[in-house]
Amino acid sequence: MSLPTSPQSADAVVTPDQVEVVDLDSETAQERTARFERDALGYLDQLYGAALRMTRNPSDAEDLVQETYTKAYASFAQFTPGTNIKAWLYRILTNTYINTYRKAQRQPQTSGGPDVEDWQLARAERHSSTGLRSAEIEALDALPDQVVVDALQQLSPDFRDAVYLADVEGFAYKEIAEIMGTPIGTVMSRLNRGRSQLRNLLADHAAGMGIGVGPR
Amino acid sequence: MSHMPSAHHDEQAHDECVAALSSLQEFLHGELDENAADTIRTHLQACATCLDSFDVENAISALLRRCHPPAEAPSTLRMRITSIRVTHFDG
Repeated sequence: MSLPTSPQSADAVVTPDQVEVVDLDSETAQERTARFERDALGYLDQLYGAALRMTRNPSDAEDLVQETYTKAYASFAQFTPGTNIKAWLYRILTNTYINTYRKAQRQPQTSGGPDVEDWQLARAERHSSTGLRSAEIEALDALPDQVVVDALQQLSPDFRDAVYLADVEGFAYKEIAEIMGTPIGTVMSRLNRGRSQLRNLLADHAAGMGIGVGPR
Repeated sequence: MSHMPSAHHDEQAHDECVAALSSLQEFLHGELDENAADTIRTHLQACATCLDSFDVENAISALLRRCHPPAEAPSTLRMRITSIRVTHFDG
């Protein structure tokens, strides 16, 4: 495989609307509602997809999205027009999820203790003899979708969300930091660890299905 | 006589690999500036092991996208959300 001349771009990032002057003081309720409908409602499908992946339950996902839009609508006057509304909506979604659903679930944080530095992970990976290699890319491609979805779900929620936002949604790290309310370094750490764990899980699945990944 | 890298060379190569692998995700996600990205590209062209890692990570990114196709919100949800706004608006 040849190297890309430039790294993959986060092409899903939506540029905010063209510079638009909104006078929040004189804006009527009708105008604000129209603006909300025009700017925020377009992300309904994407937010529902993210909610579905967070809650793993269509009914909970609907409730989560409805609550997200209710909160977004209620605080829309505080949203600065022209800034990143998609990231703003995802932030509300993530916070709502954490405050309601995740508390109820009491999911334990799994693996990747805070004492393990990223460079140590990289070092371990370099010496790993059980990881996937190029020859196993075909095996990866042959994995059923559900296996991959389940593997992502096995990560701790912070790792899972970081990976999902970067790889599936195509958000830039800066936006993920905004959505998760963490410094960008934390985002990078969650991505490195999340992807490292995911890679091991997928390697195990591939091996379990009898494809690729033998001792070398 | 076969090529036997010195211990020093080994160590240096090792450090370069650790550096490359540490920022592989950033490279993959287009987060590195051009200088840093060039450093990685140069290393990947010289190191088959790290290139393998890159290929696999790249494949995993593609796999994640493949396995999470865009969802479509149920029409009932769309209606509920519209009614939230109508309720607020009327109230």
